[in-house]
Amino acid sequence: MDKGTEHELDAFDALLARARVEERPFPSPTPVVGPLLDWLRGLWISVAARWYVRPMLEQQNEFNRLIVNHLRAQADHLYAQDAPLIAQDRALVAQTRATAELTAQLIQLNRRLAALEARLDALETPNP
Amino acid sequence: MRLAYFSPLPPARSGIADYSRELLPHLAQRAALTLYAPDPAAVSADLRAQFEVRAYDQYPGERWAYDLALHQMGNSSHHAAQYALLQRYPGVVVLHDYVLHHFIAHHTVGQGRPAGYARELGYTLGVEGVALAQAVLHGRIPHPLFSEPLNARVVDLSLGLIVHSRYVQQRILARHPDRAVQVIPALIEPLPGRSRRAELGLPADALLFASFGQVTANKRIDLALATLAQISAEIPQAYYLLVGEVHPQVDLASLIQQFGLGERVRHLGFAPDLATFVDWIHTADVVINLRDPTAGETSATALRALAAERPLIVFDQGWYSELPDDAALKLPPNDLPALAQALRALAQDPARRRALGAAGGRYTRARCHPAQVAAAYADFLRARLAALQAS
Repeated sequence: MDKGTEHELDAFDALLARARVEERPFPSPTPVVGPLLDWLRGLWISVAARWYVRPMLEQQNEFNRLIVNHLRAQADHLYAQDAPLIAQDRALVAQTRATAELTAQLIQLNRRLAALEARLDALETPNP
Repeated sequence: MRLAYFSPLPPARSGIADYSRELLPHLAQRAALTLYAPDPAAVSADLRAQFEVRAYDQYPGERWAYDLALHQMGNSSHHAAQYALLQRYPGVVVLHDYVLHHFIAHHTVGQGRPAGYARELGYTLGVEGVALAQAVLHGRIPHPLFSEPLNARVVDLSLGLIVHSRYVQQRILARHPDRAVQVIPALIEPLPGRSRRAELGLPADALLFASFGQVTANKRIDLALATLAQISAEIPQAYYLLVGEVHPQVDLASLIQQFGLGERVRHLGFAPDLATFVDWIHTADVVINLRDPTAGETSATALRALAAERPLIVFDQGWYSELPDDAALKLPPNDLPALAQALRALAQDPARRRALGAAGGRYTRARCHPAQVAAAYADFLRARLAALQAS
């Protein structure tokens, strides 16, 4: 695997690692009665919120997964464009250089042509 | 031979502008020159008095009047407009730095054009380069400033290359074996100078080590300061002079404080003109000119020190390795004990300092005089024209 691709995969792995939303316990810092508070809070959540929140979490996770996959597909698509663009760029540089070479050659030919014409004029001019 | 000449020009704060100022009068004896600048009115009056200076945007319509375009190219933001023109109308390129990455990064990312940076890395490295650029642009890795020189586009476009060292020539030919690459030594105009020691208020027996030019991280001023701190007890008369503005990435005041050097270090900032700069070089007993990493550059400061017959200390790499052994002490890069030993040796041996300085003077007079360099330019340019006609 090349260095560049490795960097890209690192980026998507990092994104994927953050894509899944999960329930997180939040333990009470209160001493002694803290575990009792945790149990009561858990009981309340399981009664009042869990069955409401869980489907939303799943919905969010599915959306996140789709987003990451879509981004990865877009990146793959863009990545696939890079090679032909680079090839075009390199071809353009080669063409530019070839044009510059031709320009330089043409300038020299023009110079020689002008010199020849001057000599011809001198030959055609009758001597006084 | 008629040449269109492209380069940063005085009064730009660029070593290549100074180089051009020294080269142009000599090159003008061997070719008809027209200078091009983004803004001719900004070019120094003395140069405008000597040469015709025309605007960049006039060149496309006038290019047929010249046998060749000659570009002085280096690794600084002074080359931005020139780089754009070079990409449309290539010519022979004098590559003053092997590494152009700092310039390219400034020219693209620094101007809000990150896609341009990806394009340049892609041009050099292929699709891997584009991904590498993305990693840089997203902050996952630093700019590979020295490992990826980003000179491939310039090299590919050029109708011939002039470089200042075999080090750079070999690296270019390794990647682009079909290029015509000529080594022509960097030039230095021998300038008279005088010591300004009295202005520093130093003790009469002070031994003055000095470094010149912008204080950047890769000039390893930190290492020089650490070394000076180490030897200061043995050589109490040792002082260190710094002449040049400090790059924002270097906290010089903290370094001086960290090494407890205080009054031992004198920092003078940017010299207002070349004559003053040369005077300060003449003031030094020993010039320390370290670079690591090297960008494949040629150090005009090192050459000025040699021309001023100052003993020179460099790291043994890049162009610096090619300096004559009798003119410079060449040390393993970043080797503090070796640097300390070199400073001790030179501090204790005035005759050796004089011998090194004299050898440096001989070297620059024999190899680096602008007239010789201009003659070598003319020979190479004529050879390139002949080769182009024959192809």
